[in-house]
Amino acid sequence: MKTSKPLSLNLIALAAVAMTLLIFACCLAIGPGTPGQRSVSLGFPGWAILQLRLTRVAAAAIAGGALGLAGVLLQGLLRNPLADPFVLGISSGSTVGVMIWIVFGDVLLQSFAGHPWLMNFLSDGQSIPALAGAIAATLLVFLLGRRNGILQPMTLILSGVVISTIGGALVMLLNNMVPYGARADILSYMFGYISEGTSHTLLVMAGLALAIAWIGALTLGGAMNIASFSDAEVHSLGIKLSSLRLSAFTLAALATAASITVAGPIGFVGLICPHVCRGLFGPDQRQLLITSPLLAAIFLMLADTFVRSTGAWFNGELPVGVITALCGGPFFLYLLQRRRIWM
Amino acid sequence: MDVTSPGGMNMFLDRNHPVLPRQASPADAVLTATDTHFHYASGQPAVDGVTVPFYAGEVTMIVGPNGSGKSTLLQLLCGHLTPSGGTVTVRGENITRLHPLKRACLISYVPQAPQVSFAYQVRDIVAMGSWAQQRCRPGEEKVCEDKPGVDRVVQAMWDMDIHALAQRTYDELSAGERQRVAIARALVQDAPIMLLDEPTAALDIWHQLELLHHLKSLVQVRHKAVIWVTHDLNHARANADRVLIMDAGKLAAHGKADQVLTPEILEPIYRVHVTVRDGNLVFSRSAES
Repeated sequence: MKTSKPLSLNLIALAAVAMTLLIFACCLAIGPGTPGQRSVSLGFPGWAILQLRLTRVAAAAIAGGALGLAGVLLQGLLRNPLADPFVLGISSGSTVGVMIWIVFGDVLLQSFAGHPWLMNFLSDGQSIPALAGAIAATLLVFLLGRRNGILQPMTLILSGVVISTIGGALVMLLNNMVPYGARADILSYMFGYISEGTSHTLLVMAGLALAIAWIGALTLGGAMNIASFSDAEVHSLGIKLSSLRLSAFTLAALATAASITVAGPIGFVGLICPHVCRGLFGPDQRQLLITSPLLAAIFLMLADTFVRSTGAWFNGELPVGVITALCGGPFFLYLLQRRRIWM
Repeated sequence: MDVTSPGGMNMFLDRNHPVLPRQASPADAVLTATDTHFHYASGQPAVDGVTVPFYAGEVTMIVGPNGSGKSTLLQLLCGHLTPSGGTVTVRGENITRLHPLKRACLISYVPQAPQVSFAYQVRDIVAMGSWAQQRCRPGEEKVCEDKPGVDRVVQAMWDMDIHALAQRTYDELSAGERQRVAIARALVQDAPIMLLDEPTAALDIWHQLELLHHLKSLVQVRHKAVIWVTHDLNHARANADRVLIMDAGKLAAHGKADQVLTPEILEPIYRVHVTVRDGNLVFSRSAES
C-alpha cells in the first residue's frame, strides 16, 4: 500500500510515545504517601515508595499496551469492531485457571514438592495459573476456529463465545467448592488487579512478550489493511491469508497472555482503545498498531493511579476493571451515539 | 494524493498507435484449466471437468444460468479455490504452487460484491492494489510496466470516474461506486490477466460503456487477458472475443460469440425461447416453462 503521509505517521508515533512517557512519570508522582493513607500527595516520594509505584505503573503500562495491541489485531483479524482480547474466551480461561488454583492449589503444591524451582515459580500466586488457563482456552479456540486449515473469523468468534460460556459455568461450579471467604477474591480477580507485589521476573517476562508481539505486529500492518477485504480479494492481492491469520492470532494471544500475567482479565481497554484511535487517526492498521497500545497503556496507568490513590475512600482498592468499565463504557456509548465509531 | 490532474483519461492507452484486433494463437494461452473439478462440502460438484484455455489479447465472457458454476470457476482461475481435481496453470505453472505475491502480479480479481470491513478512504483502497507489485523480489519477473512520472493510483481513479470520491470512506459509497473502486484497485494491480465477476451488475449505462471501452483498450493495446462473468448474453455477443457457457458445473459450449450464443445452444440451457432479431438475442418464456 502506498504510504500517503509517512512523516505524519512518524510524528504521531513520536507524539504518542512522548505522551505515554509523560503520563508514566505523572503516575509515579501521584498517590498516597503511604499505603492506606487517605490524602493523595503529588511529587516523587522516597525510594522505597517509588519502587513500589514503579512496579505497579510499569505493570499497568505493560498490561494496557498488551490489551491495546491485542484489540487492534483481533478486530482486524476477525473483521469485527466488537472483538477484543476476551471475546475469544481467554478471560474466562484465565479465571478458570485461577479457580482451579484456589480449589486445588494446595494439592498441586504438595505434588510438586520435589521440584523446588517449580514451587518457586508457582509461589508467585495467581499469575501462572491464570496464564495457563488463558493458554489452554486460546489453544482450544484456535483448534475449533479452523476450517480447512484456515482460521475463519466467524467460526473463531462462535468458538470463543462457547468457550467463554463453558468457562463461566466452570467458574461457578468451582466457586461453589470454595469457602465463602475466598469467593470475594475471585470476584475481585475477574475485574482485574494490579499489585505492587508483582514479581519482577513476571514483569520482565510480560514486558518481553509484549515487545515481541508488538514488533511482530508492526510487520503485519500493511497486510492487515488488506485483510479487511473479503477472503477472495485478500488472496488475489497477494496475501497468504492462512499465514496472516495465524500470525495475528498468535501475536494477539501472546499480548493477552502478557496482560493477564501481570493484571488479570481487564475488560473494555482492548475494545475501546482501537476505536478511539480509529476515530482520531483513521483505520490504517499501521497507525493503529502504534497508537492503540500507547493509548491503552495511558488509560490503564491513569485508571490504576486513580484506584491506587482512592483505596481509603472505598474500604480498600477497587479492582481496576471497575474503573475501565465505568469510564470506558459510557465513553464508548457516547462515541456510538455521535456516530464516531469507525468500523 | 493529488487527484486534480487526470493527465489524460487513459494512461494505459498509447494514442499514437492504432488499436488493432489480434488473433489468438495457442502460444498466447496464459491461463488454462485442465479437467478442473471442484465440489463444496455438500459433495455437489460446482465445477465438473472443465478444460479451457484463456488467451492474452482477448475478452472471454463466461455466461450461464444461476448456480451453473461461473463464479466458482472464476475463483478457481484466480487461485482462491483449490481444485478438487485437475489443474489450473498460469503461464505453465500450477496456480496453487505459485507464491501469493507472484500470483497477484499475474492475476487480478474483481468480485461481484466487494467487501471492506473498516471505513478506509477510496484512495487508500485503490492504492492497496499495488501491494504485490511493490514487493516483487529482485530477479523475479516484473510484470507491471511502470511508466515513470505517472501515478497509477490517481490515473486508475480517473479511469473509473471515482477521482471525486478519493477522500470519501467506503461505507459512504453506493454499490456501483464500490464496484468501480474495486475495478480501479485491479487496474492499479496491473496484472496481465484480469478476472471480473459481473463487474457491471451495479453500474449505470454510462459507466458500463466506459468500463467496456477501457477494458477492451487494455486487451487490444496492452494485450491483457480479460475474463468476465456476465448474465447479459447480448453484451457477451457484442463484446466478447470468446464465450464460455457453463451449465450445471460443466462447460456446455466454448467458442466465438456468434458460434455459441445461438438459439439451439441457449434454449435447452436457459429453458427459454430464443430468437435472433436485428443481430440481438430476444428471449421469451418457452411454452414448456
